Amino acid sequence: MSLWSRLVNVIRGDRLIAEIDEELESHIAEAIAHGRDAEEARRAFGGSLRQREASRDIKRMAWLADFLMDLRRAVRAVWRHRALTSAVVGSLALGMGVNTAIFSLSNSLILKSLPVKHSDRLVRVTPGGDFEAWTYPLWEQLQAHQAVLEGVFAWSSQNASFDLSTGGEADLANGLWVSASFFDVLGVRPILGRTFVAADDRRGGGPDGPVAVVSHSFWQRHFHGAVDVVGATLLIERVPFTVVGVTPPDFFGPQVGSTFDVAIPIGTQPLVLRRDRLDQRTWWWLQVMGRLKSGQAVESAAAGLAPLQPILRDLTRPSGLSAADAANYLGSPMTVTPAPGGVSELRRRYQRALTVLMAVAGLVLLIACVNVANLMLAHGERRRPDVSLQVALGASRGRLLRQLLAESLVLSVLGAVAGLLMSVWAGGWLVAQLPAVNGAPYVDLSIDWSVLGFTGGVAIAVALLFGTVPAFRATRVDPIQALKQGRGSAGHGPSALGNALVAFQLSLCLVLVVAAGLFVRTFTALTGQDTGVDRERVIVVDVDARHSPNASANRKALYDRDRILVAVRALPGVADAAYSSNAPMSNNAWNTVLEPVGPAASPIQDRSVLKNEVSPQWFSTYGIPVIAGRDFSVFDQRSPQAVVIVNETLARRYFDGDPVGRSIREVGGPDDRQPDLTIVGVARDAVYTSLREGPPATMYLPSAHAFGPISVRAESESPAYLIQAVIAAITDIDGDLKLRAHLLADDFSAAVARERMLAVLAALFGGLALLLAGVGLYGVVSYGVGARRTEIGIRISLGASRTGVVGLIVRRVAALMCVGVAVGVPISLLGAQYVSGLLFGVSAHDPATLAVAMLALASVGLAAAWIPAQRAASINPTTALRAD
Amino acid sequence: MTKPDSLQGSLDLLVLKILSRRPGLHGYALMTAIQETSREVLRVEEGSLYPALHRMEEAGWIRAEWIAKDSGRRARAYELTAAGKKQLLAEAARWQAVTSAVNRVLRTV
Repeated sequence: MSLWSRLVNVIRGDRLIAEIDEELESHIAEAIAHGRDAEEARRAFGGSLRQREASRDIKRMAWLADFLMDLRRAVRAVWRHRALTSAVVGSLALGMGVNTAIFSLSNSLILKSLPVKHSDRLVRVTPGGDFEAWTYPLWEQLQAHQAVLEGVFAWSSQNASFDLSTGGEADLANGLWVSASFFDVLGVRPILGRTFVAADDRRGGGPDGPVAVVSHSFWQRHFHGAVDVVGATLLIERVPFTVVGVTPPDFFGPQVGSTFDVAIPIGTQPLVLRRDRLDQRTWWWLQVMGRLKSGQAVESAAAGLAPLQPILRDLTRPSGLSAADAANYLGSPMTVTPAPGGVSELRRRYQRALTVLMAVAGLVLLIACVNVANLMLAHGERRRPDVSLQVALGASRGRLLRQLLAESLVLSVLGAVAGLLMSVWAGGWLVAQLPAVNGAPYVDLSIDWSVLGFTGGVAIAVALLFGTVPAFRATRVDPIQALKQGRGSAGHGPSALGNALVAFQLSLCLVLVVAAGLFVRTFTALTGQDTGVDRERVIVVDVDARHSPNASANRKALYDRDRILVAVRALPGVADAAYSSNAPMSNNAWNTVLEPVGPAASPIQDRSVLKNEVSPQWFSTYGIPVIAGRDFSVFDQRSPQAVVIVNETLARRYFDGDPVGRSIREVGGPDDRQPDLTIVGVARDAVYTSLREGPPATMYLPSAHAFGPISVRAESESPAYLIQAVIAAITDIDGDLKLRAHLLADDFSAAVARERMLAVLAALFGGLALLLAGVGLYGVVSYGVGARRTEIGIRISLGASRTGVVGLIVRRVAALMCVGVAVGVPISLLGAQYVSGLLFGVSAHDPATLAVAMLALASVGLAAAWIPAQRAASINPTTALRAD
Repeated sequence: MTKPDSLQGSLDLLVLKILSRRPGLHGYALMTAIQETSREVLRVEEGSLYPALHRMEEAGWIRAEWIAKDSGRRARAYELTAAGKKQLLAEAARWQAVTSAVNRVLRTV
């Protein structure tokens, strides 16, 4: 007999027994045939039941059969105690669901690597000098000279929103600029056609003309999966491209968190953007990644690239730098870092937050487990007679433990399955909260093996956590004692263990409520601060003028600014309009460095300031008062270099007293001295790109060219209804302009998406924790009151007042609270320390938040204890004493 | 408590030996064979016979198959396997070693 037949015999059950019986019966028949007495023959076998069992246990895998039997019994028990089961499965599902959802998101965003071959050999290369991106000349040189890595490629998604339409309304696709080596080095094979070759990446396209590779999803959407897509023409910004290949369905691009539709060679950029910026030595926009040779270490690759750097530096240094800046250009070495997961903006911004959320979700699960453990403890007490009977019949303690643990496992698995379903829905909601970094966020949340493994592991851990101790408790019975009691009601109330568990739960709850408080305050502080602009009234219209006849070679103005402003200002509901090079909160910053002007200018450490070119009335459009001097006028625009308006921070930093009339000067090259700029006005501080840092020192120049967004101020708040009218007015004047309008308020909203997500989720989890803790406390106190009925009955009959009894119960609860808070406060402080990087406007040790959290916990505790206390107070002493 | 004519651990050895001479016996026949060959000195406890047979079957020393008897019932007939033959030699050798040791003690002491 082999292992296999023993395994099979586990399920053969009855057939096995029938066979054994048959063999034994034929033996007896034989004996009878040989003349032995029938009775005697049977008796000679001893207990037939034991015979049968002994043989059966030899013939099958005993432990497996026992386990299956335990499972069957557990399922029946779970079904019998439906109320308890639903409470348990419900709490577990909530706890496990949130954990799985957050793990799933973390898995996709942080842990998983790109779906390409040998992703562990992918590295990211930065050019040094604290830059994260490359200029095109720098990239060209790297590609030409490097031999250390097996391959390098470059890509970018800047300015890569491609309009596929022929005019009128824009049909935008997510694009990707890639080098010719992109697909080859990544190891992505096309499912149709081919990917790029070196010849394709040339200015103006290669021998096949401008070519494009499309993604699988785009092929389905735009070409409807047509098989003749290879060779088809795709109009990108009205330039005909030939589609040469389609990528496989699981390849979404090099960035986790976004997808791409169309990839085109970097060399075709001048065709698409209608201007050639590729040779600009100060435009840092390309991401460069590479593949290590097999067995090559990251450090040796970095060491191999180091000698290249001086060459690259000399060949690509921008002209016009001062001597000091030239020496600093690419001062620090190139870095090579492992990047199996690609480069992801979303990941960079959310990694910390997701880790925190994971910890918080883990705490919620822990609280749920403690609840369940307490429930199981109480349940175990009630099943004492059953267990005692089993022990009296000869069951070993280990056997009973296994049975009870099987029950815990069944409950836990049910909770895990429900939680998994919940997490699918919750995960979708989570992703919807993420801001669009490059188009709508795309995170692959499909349930893969790691998610399933995580869920399974958590389920088993949870079962062990809440099942072990109650199981041990339940099996520690003295059969005689327990059977004698009948109902087994002479319990001593919740044991020290039960109390300890509740106190632990309360401390965890405190930690979560404090976390919720901190994150909510961070969010309100961020959104509530005075940003210096009227964010509710402004519409920002991004203008893309590449198809406009005004877009001349030297770009004096991409649109006819004055006529447009007049037309927009004339619309009903519009209070003002202006244009500028940058709009606030648009993630675009333009910086420059000032040098001292005039005699005895004091040395100032940080001379970098932000810059914006604005039209007259730009300040009033945004509601920024000019507190000294004056705003720009039309005349300033004629001689644009001579005047400047600074903001308060800049004025304070560089000048004492009134800065109006004084001068500042931008740093220029050795032969290129910038003119002195006279300050004509001081504007109030306003936010530029960052809500977290204070307003930066900003200088405003009168705008000579109009090439940035148009800003429109409405007369009332929430001006979304005006957008159509504004677009229509502008299109009337210049129909070739591509316009995209949005509310300034939306930019602010997107900037705090992470904090909002943290605040909402932390508040949700905090509320959940309070609920669970309250329910747990209620359960334990009720049970305690029930167990102490006799004692309370005696007290009341001896003259204790009702309030006295209530006080008794409440004092007990208060004691638990104090212990819980005492343990919880240090943990909260420690935890807050860890998340202090995510906070704003509130310190990690903020006492007000702590006090409010303690108050919340106290009120929940009081509410939970109130009903059982009332019940205790209304115990009728005679019935209580009679029951036992 | 063991009786003086009990078989203790040597049931395995006896079964293997008998099956090596007479394959295809069922449980009852084995039991009578042991009793006859030992001239009624050794008696097999029926309660321990079948567990022992099943254990040896598990270990792979004997194998069984169902045969039809004329009375209409089925019985399981056992025979020795190759592994069983090896086990038989080992057990027999062990038995010899033990008994000669005991004899030596009885003679010399």
